[in-house]
Amino acid sequence: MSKINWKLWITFALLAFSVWILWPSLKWSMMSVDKREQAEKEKSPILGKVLKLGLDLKGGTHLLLEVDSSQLGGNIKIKDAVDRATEIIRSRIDQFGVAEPMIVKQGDKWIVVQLPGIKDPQAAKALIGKTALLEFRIVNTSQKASEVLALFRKKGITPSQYRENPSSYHDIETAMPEGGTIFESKEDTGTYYVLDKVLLTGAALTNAKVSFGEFEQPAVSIEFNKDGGRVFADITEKNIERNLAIVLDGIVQSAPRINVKIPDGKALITGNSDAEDAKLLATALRTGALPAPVKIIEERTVGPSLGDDSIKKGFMSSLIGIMIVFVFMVVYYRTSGIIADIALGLNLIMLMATMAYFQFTITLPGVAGIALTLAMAVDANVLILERIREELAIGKTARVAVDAGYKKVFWTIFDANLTTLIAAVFLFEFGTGPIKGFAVTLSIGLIISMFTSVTVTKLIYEFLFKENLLLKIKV
Amino acid sequence: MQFFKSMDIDFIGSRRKFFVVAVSLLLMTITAFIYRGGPNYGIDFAGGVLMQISFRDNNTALHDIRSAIEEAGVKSFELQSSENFILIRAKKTLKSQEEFKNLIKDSIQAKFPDNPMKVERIEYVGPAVGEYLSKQAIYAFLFAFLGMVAYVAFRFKSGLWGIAAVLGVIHDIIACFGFIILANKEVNIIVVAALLTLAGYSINDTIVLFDRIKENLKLCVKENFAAIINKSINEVLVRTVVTSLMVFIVASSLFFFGGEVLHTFAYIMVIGTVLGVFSSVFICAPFVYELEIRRSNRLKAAIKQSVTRSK
Repeated sequence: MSKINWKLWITFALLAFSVWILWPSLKWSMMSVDKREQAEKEKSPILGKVLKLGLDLKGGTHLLLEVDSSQLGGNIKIKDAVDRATEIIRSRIDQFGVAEPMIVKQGDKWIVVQLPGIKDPQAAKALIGKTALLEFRIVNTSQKASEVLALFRKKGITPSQYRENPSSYHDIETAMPEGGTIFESKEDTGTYYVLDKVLLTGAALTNAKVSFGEFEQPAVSIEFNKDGGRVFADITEKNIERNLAIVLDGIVQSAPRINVKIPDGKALITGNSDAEDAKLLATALRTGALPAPVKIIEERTVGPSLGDDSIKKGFMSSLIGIMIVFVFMVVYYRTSGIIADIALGLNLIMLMATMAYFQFTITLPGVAGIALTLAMAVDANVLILERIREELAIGKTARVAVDAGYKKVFWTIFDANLTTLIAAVFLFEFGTGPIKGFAVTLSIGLIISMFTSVTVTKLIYEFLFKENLLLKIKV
Repeated sequence: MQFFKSMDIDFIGSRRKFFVVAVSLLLMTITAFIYRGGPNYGIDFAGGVLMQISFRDNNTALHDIRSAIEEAGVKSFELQSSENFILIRAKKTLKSQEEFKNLIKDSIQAKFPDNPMKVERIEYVGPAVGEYLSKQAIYAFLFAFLGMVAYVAFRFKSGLWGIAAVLGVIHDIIACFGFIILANKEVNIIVVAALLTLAGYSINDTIVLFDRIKENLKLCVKENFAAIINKSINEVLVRTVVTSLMVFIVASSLFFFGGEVLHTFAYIMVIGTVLGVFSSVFICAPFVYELEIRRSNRLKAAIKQSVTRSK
């Protein structure tokens, strides 16, 4: 087998492989909306193979959350808090059932949350942002505290009513012990606690699970991290025989009594009424509370109908532009134009296959990037063909002119593509969501064009010359 | 088919005229900047809320919507209507975006009870994020420029050529920015992406030209520098026009049919492709000429001086 044939076979193999990669996407685009929804519900394996659309095309919500570090306890590192918040948000979203969500840390205290195709972004946002701040506070049993409790009973108001507007209950405000606040209890309505200031928050907890105490009664064992454990040891030493309230979302979950000093950060909460109760408390402790409140500092939500509209418009406008380029090449360069168009078509197929294979996200600017890249990929062929024209003009034969054309412009093409690639790389590095998608299609298209517009077109010429199909060249 | 056969235009001879054009383009940007009081930064950089809404019956009068939002207590906002949707933008002055959104939604819906409203798109960018995105955009430009200068300088073994190439790009970007301000287009992240792409394409043209100059410098040692540059420009002109035409066609197609999101992006690409050709032919090449002539004059003077001194 000759060298040319061998290269042609490789090109065909690459084409076949690309089509095979794109096959699931093709099947997907033929599916009805109902079938697609069903596949998403069943988490069908086809989902991992189809072209991945960005939120701007598919519809969905992008959120950037900031962990409020000012509300962290002094001993807790911001990094640990953000890691934990990321974990907790992930588990909350899993409960919500979004197909292929993305939750990642960004920078020091930001978390990116992407929820593609979500139907009710409002509810999801409420669930994610629900702080349910978990706090540990000592129950205040002073004279003043019992006065406050008496006042509440007399007035018949609830602690939340008071906390909303403390200045309108002046007598309670003055009676309140310094740093204290009043809370409801989870178990018994009408039982209130006056609690001192926050000593530890949920960020210090590393684990909470159901276990059983000495006499097989259900209990919850909790574990603090190193810093939290030290603080906990200090608290338990100073407050023996007092009650430590676990406050979740402004409600006292449990207020176990401190019996002994706990030096190692591992404690057992006993006295739960049953195993179910202990389980609920453990879950609440584990995932119920973010280590600190999170704030939505960026939101981008695109409705599904707008996404569809963007797909149609982006696709149509790109197609129209590319079709004109195709036609122009044939009219302007004849046979050589057809060869350039073949390379262009191959570039498009391989670009899409690469996007599907690596599961890169296609965004609306990304679609524009594909169209622009194809227009720019023509450049290599224009450079070569103009050079061949020059070589022919000085009287060289077709075959020699083609060889000289390719040889002379190769480094020009390489340089030109590489500098555009430099721009694309920094765009990717510093860009966000949709822009990253643009940088990706631009870069991949450029790299593929080095193969299709230079290697493949040359191969076609060599093949045509060898088979004596092309004796004279008209460009 | 061929647009034009061989040409012989004296680009270097008339370089001063083109410098005037370049400078007036830059002056236009400055004038536009002062006249408009700076660029119209979108919420990506300024922070704020953007809402895109649509009604079942889209014959809703814009001033009714305006008064509905004003009645809700929102003072500073912009309204923009299109065929089938309305954009509401409010920059800064926000306490809680959720509250703000519901406020606007409720007040508009209350005004048009029989015409259901749909929120198609919401973008909220907090002040910290706006700052972050601005910083990222500046870094992207800075590093991309440095990378390009370094690469061109490396390939042509001359820092002068690298600087000449990037001067052309900077000219294109500044002039393009002038057109953005003139058209009162919103400057957002997509604009940054378009400008960087434009930078890539513009330097692409310059490199093709520089490569040709380098090649001709080796081939025609006897001719003077101006003649070589002229010859090179004339030789690559067809290619530059054809390639730019292709990008221009695609950009125009995106501009006319691509929809609202791609509109500004395509607008910049359309103007940018024209500017890219202009800068590589009329700025970068003459600049290389000026820089090289000055250097060789200095060199000659230095030689002369050392010769007289040795006498």
